[in-house]
Amino acid sequence: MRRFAFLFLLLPSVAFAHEGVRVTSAWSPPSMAQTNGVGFLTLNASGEDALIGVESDCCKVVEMHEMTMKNDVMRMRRVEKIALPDHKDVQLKSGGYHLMLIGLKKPLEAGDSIPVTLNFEHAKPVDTVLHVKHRNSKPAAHHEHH
Amino acid sequence: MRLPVLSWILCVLALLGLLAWLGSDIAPVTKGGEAANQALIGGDFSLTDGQGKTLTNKDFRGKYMLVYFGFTHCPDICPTSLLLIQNSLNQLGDKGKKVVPIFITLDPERDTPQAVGKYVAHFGPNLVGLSGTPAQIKQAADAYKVYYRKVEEEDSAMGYVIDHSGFLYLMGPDGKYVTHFPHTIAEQSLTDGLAAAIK
Repeated sequence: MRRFAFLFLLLPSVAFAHEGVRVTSAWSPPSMAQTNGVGFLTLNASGEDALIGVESDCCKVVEMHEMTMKNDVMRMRRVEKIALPDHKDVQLKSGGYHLMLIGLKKPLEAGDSIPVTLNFEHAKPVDTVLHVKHRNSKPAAHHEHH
Repeated sequence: MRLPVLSWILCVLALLGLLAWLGSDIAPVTKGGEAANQALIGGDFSLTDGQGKTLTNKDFRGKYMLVYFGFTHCPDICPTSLLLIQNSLNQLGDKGKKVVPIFITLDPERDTPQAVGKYVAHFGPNLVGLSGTPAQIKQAADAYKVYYRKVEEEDSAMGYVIDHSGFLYLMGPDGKYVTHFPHTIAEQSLTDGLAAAIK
């Protein structure tokens, strides 16, 4: 009986530990003429978690990649998952972790909304949208001189 | 007796092979910065633009060249660098017009001249995009002391990626090296640096 009571006490904390992952600032730059796009966003998990996969109809496959710089050489590698510490913002941003949208079905244009589903180790999947916008707040330079 | 000796030899050979492989992997990356190397940066290249036209370094004499190497499958850093270049040159006004920005691909297998031409058109009408045969790309990259390496990514739909160094090289109207900037430089710093370097 005691063992049972013990487990009962644990249950609520387990349930709350992974109540969800908050997603903010999800965006993509326009894809130019490329076959690949990139997605950036900020994740904040309630309880230790990890981003383990991403799905989207916008492209053939979405992968998580990491950009690193070593001795002035840029490297990009696929990662299996991105660890999400408890209640800490994890930014997928330029020059670090990012979503690779591989084999785009059509170019990403400013103003587009790209639905994606994020899958986590513990939390329920989250549906979100990548807003396509230019990288700088300024418009692309060549648009200024017409 | 023979077998152990043979296996020793094989072991030593394997070790030598491993060392050579490791050695090639960690070969020092040549940076543009050292004064002694400055004169060595730049040189002959012969590449093809999006219209199929052959362009060599001599075709740009009389103009400054701002040269950047990358690959179009890179979704993040290369577009950022090209936007940076375009924004700075636009800020420079007339001085900026003395400069031809040039993007040279390090991925000649996927980046045909047409693909590169189409790619650079998105960044502005004046950006020149060049590709060529793997040998031509190697000649250009070697001339600019650019480190690049094709890395197979079997577990990725990317197939392979290109590790590469990322500098912007400013070459003078005489074709000689003037200065270089890291691709991570802030836009204003690049603009100021170019303004100081362009006569």
